[in-house]
Amino acid sequence: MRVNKKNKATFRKYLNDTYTKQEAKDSFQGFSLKENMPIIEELSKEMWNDSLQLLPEKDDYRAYSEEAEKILSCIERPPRIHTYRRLLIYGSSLAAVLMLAIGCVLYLRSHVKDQLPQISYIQRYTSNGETKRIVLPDGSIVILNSCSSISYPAKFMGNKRMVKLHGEGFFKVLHKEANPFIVQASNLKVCVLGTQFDVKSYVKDRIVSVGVNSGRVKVYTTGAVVFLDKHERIICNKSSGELEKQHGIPDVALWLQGSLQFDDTPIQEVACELERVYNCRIIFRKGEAFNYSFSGTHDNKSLESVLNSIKFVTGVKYKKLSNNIIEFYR
Amino acid sequence: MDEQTLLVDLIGGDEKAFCKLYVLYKNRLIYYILRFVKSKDYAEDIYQDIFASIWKNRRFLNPNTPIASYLYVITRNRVLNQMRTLAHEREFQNYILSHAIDYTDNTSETIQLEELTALIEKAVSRLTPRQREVFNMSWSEHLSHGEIARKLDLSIITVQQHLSASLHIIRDFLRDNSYSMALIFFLAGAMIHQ
Repeated sequence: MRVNKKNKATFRKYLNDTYTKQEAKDSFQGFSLKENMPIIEELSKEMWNDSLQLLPEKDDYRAYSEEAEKILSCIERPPRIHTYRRLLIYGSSLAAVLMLAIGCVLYLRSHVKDQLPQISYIQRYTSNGETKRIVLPDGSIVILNSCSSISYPAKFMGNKRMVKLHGEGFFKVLHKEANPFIVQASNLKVCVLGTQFDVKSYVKDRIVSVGVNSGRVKVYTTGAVVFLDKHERIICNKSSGELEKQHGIPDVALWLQGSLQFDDTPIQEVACELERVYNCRIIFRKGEAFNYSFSGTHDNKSLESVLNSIKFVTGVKYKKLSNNIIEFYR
Repeated sequence: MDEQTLLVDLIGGDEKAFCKLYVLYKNRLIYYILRFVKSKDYAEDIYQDIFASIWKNRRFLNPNTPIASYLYVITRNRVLNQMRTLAHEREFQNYILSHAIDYTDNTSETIQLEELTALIEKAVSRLTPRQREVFNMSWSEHLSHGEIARKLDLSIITVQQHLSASLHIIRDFLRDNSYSMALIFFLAGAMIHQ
């Protein structure tokens, strides 16, 4: 009984943010133990009830709706409507940027005295099978790969040029001596002056990477700061924390030419990549284990030819179900 | 619009209903998920995963189950599963530890409990009266955010803001002062061993 009380207190402090290092470590262990489930359930119910009073605020409606739409487009869109939607989104985002610009000017005019001007952020998205070329406020260019998003201010203020990336993007940054360009992905930060490099950081993938085609970048990740020169790439494994630096990579962003490259990649991640590029859905047959890795480069091939290649190399077969869904089995 | 109607529409494939539900529940679920994963980025990703999965499996939703209890079960299970994996990932552990109240850059150094309590008492005197109240309820009485909110008649968001500010101040104070304390304890310990 006493042990339970102590456990509850530890979890409570973890969930409350008032935990010590030791309590955090105890909690890490505790989440996996069966006997803690009743305590966790009790605390969990409590927090859920606490949360029910948090309704959306006025400003949340627009931003959240956009996120919801993005999820829908990442999952499924029939091609016809997709093009129409794309035009609609493109047209409305142009209008939005104009409105933001006008809004900014008006705001500055009326609140000059002691308030800082509100910086408006622009967000651009790509869905499955889509890539997009975006010109940033300073003239730098980013090419977004499928199922990615980038967020940047309408105008770079201060001396830093900072953008936020989810997914993958190839950057061509204009050299500006006094203004470092920073890409923030979920667990790493890339700092550059002027160069061409690729950042890959998809949530679903275990591996994130940064590769340089020209110039030099500084990568900040947990526990390490790494310099990358031309034709070098760093690969970070999110679950093991391992870092690997590779040299002599002639082109760090083969996807720009429509090439797919796999380097001892676990088949689950190969599937993720195929889903993004070919806008399909891949499921693994239940009850079977798929401990395979796959290597190879494919230039602008059809989905079938890649699937056949996988079958040839790993023995994993595929079957086309309805609706663009493919099933892998052994 | 009634939530159950939204659910029925969602099951039928209505995208507007999906978006409405997403908007309606985001702040609540992010709050809940954040309590476990602490990082806004992780929480957002989990929330979006949950809703992507809801859309993909909408045909299997039961129109008679209240949407709130449905969301609770899905979210709780997802978060706990995530915690079981994340809790073993070094990157996640480092992130959580770096926000501990007694975090120091020196990983082998741990502030002893008596010293920690003494230091925190000192640090707490630097807080505003309101922050002190909120912090003490959380730290000494182990009250949840909701319990504090009800007792002091504040919103949960305000409670969180006070707590967050308090933790910042206390962490900074501990970091600046524990080094000298640790040195004294070490010397004292060294002398005793002689």
